[in-house]
Amino acid sequence: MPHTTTGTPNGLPRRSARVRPYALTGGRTRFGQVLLVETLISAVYQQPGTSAPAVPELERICDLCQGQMRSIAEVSALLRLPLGVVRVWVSDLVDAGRIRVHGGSVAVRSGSGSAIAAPARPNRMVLERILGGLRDLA
Amino acid sequence: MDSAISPDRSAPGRISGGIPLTELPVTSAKIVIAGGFGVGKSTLVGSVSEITPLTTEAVMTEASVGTDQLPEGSGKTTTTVAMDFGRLHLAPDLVLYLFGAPGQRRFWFMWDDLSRGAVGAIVLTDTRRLARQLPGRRLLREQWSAVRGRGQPVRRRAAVRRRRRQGGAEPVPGCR
Amino acid sequence: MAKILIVGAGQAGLQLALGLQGDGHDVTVMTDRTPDEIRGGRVMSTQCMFDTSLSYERALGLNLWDAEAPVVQGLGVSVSGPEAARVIDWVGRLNGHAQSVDQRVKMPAWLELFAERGGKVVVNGVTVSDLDLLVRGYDLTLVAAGKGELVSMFARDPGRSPYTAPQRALAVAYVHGLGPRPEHDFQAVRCNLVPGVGELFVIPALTNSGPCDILFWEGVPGGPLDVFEPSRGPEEHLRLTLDLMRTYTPWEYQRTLGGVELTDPRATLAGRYAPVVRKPVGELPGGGVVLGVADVVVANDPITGQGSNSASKCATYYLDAIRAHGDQPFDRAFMEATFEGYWNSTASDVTAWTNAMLAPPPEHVLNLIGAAGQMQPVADRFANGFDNPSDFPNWFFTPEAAESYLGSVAQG
Ligand SMILES: Cc1cc2nc3c(=O)[nH]c(=O)nc-3n(C[C@H](O)[C@H](O)[C@H](O)COP(=O)(O)OP(=O)(O)OC[C@H]3O[C@@H](n4cnc5c(N)ncnc54)[C@H](O)[C@@H]3O)c2cc1C
Ligand SMILES: Nc1nc2c(ncn2[C@@H]2O[C@H](COP(=O)(O)OP(=O)(O)OP(=O)(O)O)[C@@H](O)[C@H]2O)c(=O)[nH]1
Ligand SMILES: [Mg+2]
Repeated sequence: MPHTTTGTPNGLPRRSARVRPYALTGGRTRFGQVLLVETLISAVYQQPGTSAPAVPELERICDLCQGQMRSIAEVSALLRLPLGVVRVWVSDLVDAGRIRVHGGSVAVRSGSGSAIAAPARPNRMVLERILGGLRDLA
Repeated sequence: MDSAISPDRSAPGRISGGIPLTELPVTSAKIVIAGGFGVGKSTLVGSVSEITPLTTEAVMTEASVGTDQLPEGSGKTTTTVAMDFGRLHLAPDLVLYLFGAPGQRRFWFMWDDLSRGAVGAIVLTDTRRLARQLPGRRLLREQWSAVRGRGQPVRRRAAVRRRRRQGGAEPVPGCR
Repeated sequence: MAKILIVGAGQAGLQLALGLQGDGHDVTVMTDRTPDEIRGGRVMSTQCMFDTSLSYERALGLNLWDAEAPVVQGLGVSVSGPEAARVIDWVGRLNGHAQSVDQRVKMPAWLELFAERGGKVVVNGVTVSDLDLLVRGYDLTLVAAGKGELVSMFARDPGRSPYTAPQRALAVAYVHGLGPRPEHDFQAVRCNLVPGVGELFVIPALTNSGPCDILFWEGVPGGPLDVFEPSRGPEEHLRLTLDLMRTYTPWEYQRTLGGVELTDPRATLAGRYAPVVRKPVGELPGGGVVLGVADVVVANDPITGQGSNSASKCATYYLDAIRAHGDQPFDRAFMEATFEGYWNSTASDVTAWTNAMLAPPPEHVLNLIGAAGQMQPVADRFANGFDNPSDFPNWFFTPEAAESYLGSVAQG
């Protein structure tokens, strides 16, 4: 999806600039990044009183990710929800501006420029950091 | 079948919370641990994870791909597929997940999901039952090439760890 | 406007999704593969589509490959006789052209188009437990997951499913480099019938690397064509395909002598499935209901090249039914009536014709195929039956209808 990251004109921290629902003409834009099991999400801070009528199950996802990041798989395991349900509900929450997705910048899509793509793969430097981290465990 | 996290299973000293928010751009990655039934995937995940391993479950219809072997009738038979995983917070901006992929043939669709974006795979084999380790080998041949084929190339770093059953419990080292 | 969930991003699921989206519905598509994965994956079909289904795509603005795809203007039949002599050879002219665009080209583009138009796409291999919770949030859930494992939610309908086992072993290879066809100067799908052994279809198509031809063997199980295994490598698959052409259809083999090569390493497919018709309503453990679409409910053998055409017709029928239903609930009664309408208008004739073509041909069918070589109107009518199989009962199915039709053609 064309989630343009146009910087942060209002000086807000990066994370609140990430979610830009309704940026497309025609009324709605949608979240197009593929949610992998390890994709991290966190709840977006809500001004008291601004939230739409709460759907209890969606609220549970927001609660679990309040002030911290959780992976899609953690949300699934901790709330005992099947992965597909978590993916649909999380992408609904992203559209509603309630959840933010971390990592794998949406501006840098996978090589093909597909509208529906997995986050860009970690580069070689990240792979080496992972390897180093694993060696340190042993 | 393992169930999702239950408080009685959480070992003391392990973290059960999420990842603290940071202003840094955070990267999360995963490694898939494949291997046949009972080969030690959950044990490996549990031995390196900083959190009590979690399990995500899905109910599937009991059917193989292709319609020729489907039972007649309403198709109500279902089976549960469980996938356990652990987490390693390697740096404030780097999180690694380890996923034990269900070994049975009919759960291969989970492997598609798991291998999407994976940075590595570990195939566990039991040298005493090599004939039954086919799923792991096929995973490498078919899925891993798919992993490699997408996005930018990733070097093949499949660590194949063999273990023996004789001589009682061997220590389970972290992945190297 | 309704909130609709569609599982499966194939011909039926995406055509419906784009149609419903155009009507202003709030549509979510769940797919087990990303566009890039489909694009770079294995071939899935030969997907030759005829005029009626192409017109449904045009009506939704989905005909994105008209400039590049080979224009198929005819449908030819050859029959192999003793010592692989070609005893029958004719081509019927199609009233409207046909086209085969590799689903690896088409489906990713449609999926991206749906997303670009504001549709929600969730990449996830859907399970029963997903649907069990998700259906509650939607006015209507459609399962268009092809022949995947989700079909087992839908009970087989034994009264409409004469076969319980696969009737053909299927082997597909997409190639570049096939020589020009000597028989005619326009493009045609050619069916080569090898009695008792199987059929070879040669289909001009468009794939990722441009125009190509598809070589598609349908082998009687246990027979000499039943030698393809999914585990064979692609080059071995191609070699077998060509060897069998040399043995059984030497006139088609001639066209390969300039040197043919696979269009890509994933250009081969081998497998088999039993034709089946299912009950249209799937029931979830929690009591929710979902409606099956296209191959999920009616999966015929590809011998008549109807699956994608039927998928397009099914999507169109369902779209019209949803439009006509207005604000009423999409309950079980709606689902059953909608499928029954599709069955009666389209799928029953397709199924009857396809199942008939799988069996050894009766005398009157042999006569008709022979007569088409002498009488062009018979060849043309046969060819256009691929577009509208509902014409077959009028002249093809029974000896009486065939005799009276041939008599009327002979009189001019
Ligand atoms: C060898 C062969 C040759 C053929 N030749 C022709 C021909 O020439 N002409 C013709 O008209 N037809 C032909 N067909 C038939 C045609 O390809 C199919 O009938 C048609 O593709 C059916 O469309 P569909 O949308 O119902 O299913 P599909 O095209 O199978 O699409 C289903 C989609 O759902 C996805 N999916 C499956 N399970 C899940 C899940 N659990 N969660 C999420 N997504 C899921 C799949 O990945 C797929 O993308 C042929 C078929 C074969 C096998
Ligand atoms: N000797 C020995 N036993 C091991 C080792 N790793 C695991 N085991 C034992 O093997 C058995 C199976 O281990 P699991 O970790 O549950 O295997 P799994 O692959 O997760 O099994 P499934 O999820 O059922 O496919 C347990 O009894 C473990 O204690 C090892 O390295 N050496
Ligand atoms: Mg286990």
